[in-house]
Amino acid sequence: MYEALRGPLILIHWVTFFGVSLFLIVRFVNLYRLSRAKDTVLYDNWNWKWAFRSIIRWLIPFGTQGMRNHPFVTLAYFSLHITLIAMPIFISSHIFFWKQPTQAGLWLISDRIADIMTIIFVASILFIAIRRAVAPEVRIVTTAGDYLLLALVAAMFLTGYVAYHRWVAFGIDYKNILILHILLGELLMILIPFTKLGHMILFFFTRAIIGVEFGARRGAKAW
Amino acid sequence: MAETKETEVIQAPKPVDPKTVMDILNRSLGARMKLWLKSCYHCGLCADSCFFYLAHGKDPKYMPSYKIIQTLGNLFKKKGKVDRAFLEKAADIVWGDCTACRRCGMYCPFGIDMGLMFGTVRAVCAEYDLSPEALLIATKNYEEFDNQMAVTEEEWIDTCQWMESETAEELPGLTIPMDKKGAKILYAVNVREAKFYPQDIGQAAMIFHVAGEDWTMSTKGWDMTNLAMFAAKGKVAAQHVKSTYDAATNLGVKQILLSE
Repeated sequence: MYEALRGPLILIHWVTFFGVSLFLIVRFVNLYRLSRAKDTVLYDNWNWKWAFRSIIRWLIPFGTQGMRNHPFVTLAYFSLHITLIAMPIFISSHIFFWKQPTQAGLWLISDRIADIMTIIFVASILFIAIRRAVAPEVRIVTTAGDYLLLALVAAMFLTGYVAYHRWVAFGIDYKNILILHILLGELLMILIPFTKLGHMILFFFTRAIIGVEFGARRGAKAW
Repeated sequence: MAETKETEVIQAPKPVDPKTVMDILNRSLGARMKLWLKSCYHCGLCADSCFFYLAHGKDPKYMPSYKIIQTLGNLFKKKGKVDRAFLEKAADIVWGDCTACRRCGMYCPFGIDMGLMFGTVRAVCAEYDLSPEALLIATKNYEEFDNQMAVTEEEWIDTCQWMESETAEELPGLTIPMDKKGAKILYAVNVREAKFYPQDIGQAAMIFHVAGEDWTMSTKGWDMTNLAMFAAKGKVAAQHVKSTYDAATNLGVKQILLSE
């Protein structure tokens, strides 16, 4: 089945990719226009230095007071994000995305390291899910959607793991799991503009804005 | 003295109109607000930044993002279709459980500026006179007297003249100029000085006199406090700032100096 679906899957992938990209660009242009009209205070005080300081600070593990106050949460979230970004790009089964067009050799994550990263990923996502259920201050704001997104990301990761190791899970051939893995990936991509996954793009904007607001206007650090 | 009584301020509550509520919300719905409303990932890291949360034994009801979801979040979700009881509860949260210190924004990984969001809810509540009573009384006084303590222009001029004659005994030649055109500095005071601590005005005059500064007081816009702003009564707050600014432009001063 996989061989027959390979062509359509690749088509689905590129349609999704360009569709979502176009959607995001249109939305960005609209928001930019709106901000020019209504958020003049932002442009009156705009300062690239404070904008970038604010972004970079929050990308450094334990770089902020809030992170230092919660070392385990920091560890879990950084592990989750690093594995989530590094694995899809550098894992050997994905590498044909890069290698085919360029024919260039690319640094790969060895299988052993990939397995260790998987364990780190599963542990951090479990920690985050349990914290959502247990810690009162997180539980009170947590919605079903938050769990669903965590579950979707975990499912995509685990189906990829099963497919890579060519396991036969619950009597399902790994090739069918692979189809599921690819479709989950497309689904998550579609969900980026509509769910909290949007933070992978919005993060940089909101961080820059608060950096300018506190830094350029008041000389205070927002971290 | 014609001081406003509480009974004059608290009028019959007007019904909550969804359109009015949405107008106020849309006024502050720029791109920033849209991003903030979308960005909360419910991570709970803002909790520790709030002293209301810490002081209430880490009761999650006091954590910033929950307070925003309960007030601003619901206002947007219900498209302004809320009743007065909802706004009364919201007013308790945004004035009683939040000082709009903006510390939560510094602890939020996404930098959501929750202080400004609370300010928007305050503006909605203020539209229905749900601001703290003392602030509403002050607002009424700004509208009527252009200062928060209902001091009349006559009383203000009288106070300055009294302080001038009293202070001149110590420093001969000292004057408290009033509406002096073309002076360098316009000095605006806290109305509290005029009403309860007039000596402060005298002492400031001594400093100006000894320093040889070219300064003046104004009969208009002389109160530099702005409690209407804290009451989230934007129009009154803006009008009050404008009165000081207009006084400065009319007198042609170069600087406006504010007391403590």
